[in-house]
Amino acid sequence: MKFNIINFLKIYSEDKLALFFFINLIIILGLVIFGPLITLQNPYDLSQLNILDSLLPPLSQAYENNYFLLGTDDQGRDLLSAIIYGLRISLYVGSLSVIISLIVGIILGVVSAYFGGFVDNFIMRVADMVLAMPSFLIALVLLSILGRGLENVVFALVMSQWATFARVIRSSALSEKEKDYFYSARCLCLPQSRIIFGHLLPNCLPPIIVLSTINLAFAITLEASLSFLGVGLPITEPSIGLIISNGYEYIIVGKYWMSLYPGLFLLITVVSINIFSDRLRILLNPRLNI
Amino acid sequence: MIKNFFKTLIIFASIIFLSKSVLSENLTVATPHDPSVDPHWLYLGPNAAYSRYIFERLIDRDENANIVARLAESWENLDDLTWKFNLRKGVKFHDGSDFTADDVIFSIDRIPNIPNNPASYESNVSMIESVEATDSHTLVVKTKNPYPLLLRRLSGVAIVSKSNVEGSTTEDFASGKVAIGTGPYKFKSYTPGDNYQITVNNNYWGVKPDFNDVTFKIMPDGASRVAALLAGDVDILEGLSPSSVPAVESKDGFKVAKRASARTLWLYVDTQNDNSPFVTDNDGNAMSVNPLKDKRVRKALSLAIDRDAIVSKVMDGLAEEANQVVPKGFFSYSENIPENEFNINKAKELMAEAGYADGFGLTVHAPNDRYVNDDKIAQAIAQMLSKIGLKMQVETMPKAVYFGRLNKQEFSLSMIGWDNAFTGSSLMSLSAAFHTKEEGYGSWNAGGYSNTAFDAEVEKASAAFDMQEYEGHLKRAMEILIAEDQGAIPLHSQFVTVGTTDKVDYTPRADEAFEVMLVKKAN
Repeated sequence: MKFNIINFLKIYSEDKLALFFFINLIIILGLVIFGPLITLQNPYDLSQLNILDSLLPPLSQAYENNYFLLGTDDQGRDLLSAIIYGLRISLYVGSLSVIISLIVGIILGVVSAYFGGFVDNFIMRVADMVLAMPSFLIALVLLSILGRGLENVVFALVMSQWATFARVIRSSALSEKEKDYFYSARCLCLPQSRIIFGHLLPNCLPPIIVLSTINLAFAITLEASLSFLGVGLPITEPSIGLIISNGYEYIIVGKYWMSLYPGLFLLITVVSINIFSDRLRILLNPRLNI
Repeated sequence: MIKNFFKTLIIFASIIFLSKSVLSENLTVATPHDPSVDPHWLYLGPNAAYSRYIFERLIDRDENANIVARLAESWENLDDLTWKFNLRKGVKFHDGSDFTADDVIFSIDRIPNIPNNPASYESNVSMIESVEATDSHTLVVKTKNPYPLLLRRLSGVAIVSKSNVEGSTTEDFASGKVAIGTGPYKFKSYTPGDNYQITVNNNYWGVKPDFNDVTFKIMPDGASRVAALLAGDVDILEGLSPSSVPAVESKDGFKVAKRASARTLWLYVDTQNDNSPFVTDNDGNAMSVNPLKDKRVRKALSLAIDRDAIVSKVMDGLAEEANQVVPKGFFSYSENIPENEFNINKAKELMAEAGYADGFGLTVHAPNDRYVNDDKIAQAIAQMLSKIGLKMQVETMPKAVYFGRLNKQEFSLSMIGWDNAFTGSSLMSLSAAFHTKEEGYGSWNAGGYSNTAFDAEVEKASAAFDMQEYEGHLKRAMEILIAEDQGAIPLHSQFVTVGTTDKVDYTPRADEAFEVMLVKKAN
């Protein structure tokens, strides 16, 4: 059966729950991409904020006919705008770090599977070392050394994630290496690069797609946790984790909205990505044959 | 079966409840600060406060910032330069050894000689020319210049035991090995970042405190401290954020002790460097001139800050606007300095006049774990300054990093909160933070402010034995600094707020230092 997007969507939507979260995911992506066009303010532009608007509950009037739908935070930021911008950063940081770890992982994984021997041993032992440490700890240590900032967060996430990719790609490449088409390709004396990138890699991809989506959700939570602890992004440009952390001390006095809503948005995003990837895992698994 | 289960549950619950309601000899404190057990290491308010339990000074300040005798029983001025102290007899260190004049001399010598100290207590002893012991319990101190504030300075000199501390390092204090003083409490244990425990000194010469064992739980997060108090895990909580005050006050069985403190927050402005480290043009490139050196720009910054909004919105009303670096009505407060004005248009005009109508880039630096809502204030200030066209950034960091960098003059616009209770006047802030850097002065001058007329007034004030003359010079110096030069931007004076259960009473100190000896069992 030739791959066909309509067909794929049809099969995908057989699971109604997965469909629901898929639509959710698309709405979130829409919000994230078109966010700046629809938000009340740019929450990162200090001159648009007013401290006198701080700590307003949801549905407070901002100016004219505009409302702070979800209230404001302790600096007078419109919470909805801050959440949308925060999600932008979270998703941006998450996808960027996954893409970079993917590239690094693919190169290292395929190289070590293809060449084997010392190269394989060396790369995999380094990967083992990384995997042996909790990824949160790696990221935390790196950020404490490097300091805050977007590039640093991405770097820290990549450092804690590349090993997973390298491992998975290596093992699927190893099993592909034993297959007949691979032997044929070698017997034909095709150039190494063509064997690796034209034959080996495409056949390793299905698990990678699933792993990337799972890792995207993981990267987003990791970034949120780091920001919550105050080592992630600068405080004037809060990502979701930092918004939650800012609001957290107000929960005790009943000002719940500053933590609740960003938390919900984060939850929905991560759950949607996870369910999407779970469905992909089922569809892309040849053994589950649907 | 179920009935039995509930019975057991009730019995267990009442046992737990009863054991808690018995008035205990133990006190648990939730605090945001780690102690530097070495009383001569890292001169920050919380460290000086911690050192009061194990160590004592010759003379200390009470909760109202008045001088009280501790290890010195009495003292007299032999002349303008010479002071004689009669030390208390029969005082013993925790290890049983006698307290003598040698320990005092050793402590005064040790302070300037601790290597790599990020914030030294040196300013408290630098005016001392020589210390001599005429006998084991009499000291003669000579100062380099007439120095009427010597007694208050000595309240920042903790006395350690010479026989124990000689040859030891700061680490030996943290491990408890040489944490031996004469104070009302003894060192018990310290786990950095987790808890610090002290236990009562039964041989203390003075008034015994109400609690025998005190555990400080170190909890940097404000919300966790409040939760711990409300859950009954701690008896008293230091550093209650104003926004949590209603949450504690409204609960039965809890209360909040409040008091206006002598600490005033202000912003240092870099008036010295031609290339200020955090001043950029609008595109983020370094500038060849430093706009902050222009008085009009500094005035504009002050005009653009809405202190009323900071007090009402960030501090929840638990602060008071400041128009100079001492609180309103404080000794040496000058009435001639006009009230703060919040006027964006005037600020913009001044910026245009100075040639910066389009603004420039500026970063405000602040600690995020030192003063009440420090990081939020910094953000609010950035917000306000961006309204007059500045491209603002905010960088906050833990106090352990912040003050080291501040003292190396690494910032362009930076926050500090100065406790004026130490001298009971503006003298210490003016002489340490604004006098030109030189021997004995300007050790905290992180803005590089320098004005010879100002320096002259400060020097006259620090040599004046007559109180009226002393206050006059201080007022004049403050007028030069604020009204004429705008060498700093005053913000507000904060309140001390301490949350407790109703089983204890607490009297906050004017200098904000937390003190276990002031915690009393409630009747």
